[in-house]
Amino acid sequence: MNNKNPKLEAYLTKIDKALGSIAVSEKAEIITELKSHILSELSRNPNQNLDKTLASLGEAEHVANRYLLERGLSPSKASKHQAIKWAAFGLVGTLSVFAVLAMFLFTQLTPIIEVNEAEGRVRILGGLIDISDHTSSNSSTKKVDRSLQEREISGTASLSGKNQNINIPFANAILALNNSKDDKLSWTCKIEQDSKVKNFSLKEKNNTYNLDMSQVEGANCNIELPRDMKLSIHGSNGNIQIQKPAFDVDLKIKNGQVSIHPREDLDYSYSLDVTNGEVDGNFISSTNEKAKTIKVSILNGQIVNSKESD
Amino acid sequence: MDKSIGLSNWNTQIKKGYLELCLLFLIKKRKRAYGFELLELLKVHGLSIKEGTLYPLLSRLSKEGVLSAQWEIAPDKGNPKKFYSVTDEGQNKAVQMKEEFLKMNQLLKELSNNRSIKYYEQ
Repeated sequence: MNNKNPKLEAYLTKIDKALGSIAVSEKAEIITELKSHILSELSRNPNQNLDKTLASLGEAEHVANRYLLERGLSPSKASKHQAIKWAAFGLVGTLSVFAVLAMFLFTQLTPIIEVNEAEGRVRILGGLIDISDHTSSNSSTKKVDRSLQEREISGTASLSGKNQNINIPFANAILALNNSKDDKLSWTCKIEQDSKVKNFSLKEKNNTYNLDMSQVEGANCNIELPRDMKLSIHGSNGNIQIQKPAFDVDLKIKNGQVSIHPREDLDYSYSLDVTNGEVDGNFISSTNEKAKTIKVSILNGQIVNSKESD
Repeated sequence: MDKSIGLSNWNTQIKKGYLELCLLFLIKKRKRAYGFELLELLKVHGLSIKEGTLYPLLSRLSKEGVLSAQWEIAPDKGNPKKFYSVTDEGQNKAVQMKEEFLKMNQLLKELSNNRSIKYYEQ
């Protein structure tokens, strides 16, 4: 029998560790004596293998505990028990985390299915999945979720002087541009309830009014404009309807659709440009000096003559 | 509780002190003995115990000064052996333990025989 048998050494090392607070010199004597016993047993009985000899002696922790108990010392807890204890702690902790997560998801994703026939939409898992009967008129236009709680903001301003310039920067919006009946600039918009914007700011500088809508995402606005104004409106994504404009328009968006419904009694000078998309309909430019200028530039999208499609 | 388990526990308890006494007299008879040898001797005398019980007991008795121990290595064999012998203190303790045990044995004889027990009313 090799005196350095790994299994034997591991067994004795376990006992040595489990002996705990017993003096090192005493531990050495205990280990040496046990090792001597095991080797004697193996040499005396050739049929006896190491496993049987160790099994006869008992588990390392139990053997060590007998030494501790004989000395009136507290036996060390078996490492297996420690492992089970920590495994139990881990299991309880993991289950707790899952329980909290499940409660959070339950509160966030309820009701499971909500059918709103009035709006023609089905919301699943608390709105995580939102299916609507109404498809967006333009896929490139950012869809504004009408099911969200909205609030209305509005404003009116009397603009001094004629031929004023109105500049309206925006981000993403659905806009209807109409003629004002009282020659005032006014806007009525629906925006998301939790939007931080209280209302749009209107500032005037050098005969140019700036109605800043750039801080709001997904506004749905009806804007009325005085006659003969020069409107400059720029944004990223939009679905914009220009209804019988008695004003000049300089419109530029990256993505979206612009519908133009010209008045029969006015002449227009068109400059329509769609980089990726098309101009759908006939837009006949007039050479009349008093013709209203309609300049629209879209990177991706479509310009439609909505009068023809009525 | 299983009756056999109850008896086994009782045997373990009663044997604990009895074993210590027997061990002292056994080593005293042999002058000196090592663990492996003691296991065999106890087995021959009908007091079979496990090595996991014997070695911790020998270790404790050595620490208490009841036994003295000496390591020896046989010239032809590599395994060192720890030989135990009973100290003077151990011999005195063994005598006292024997007297106590005989008293208990006598009491048990009196209680377990068929004769009536004398008692005095207060």
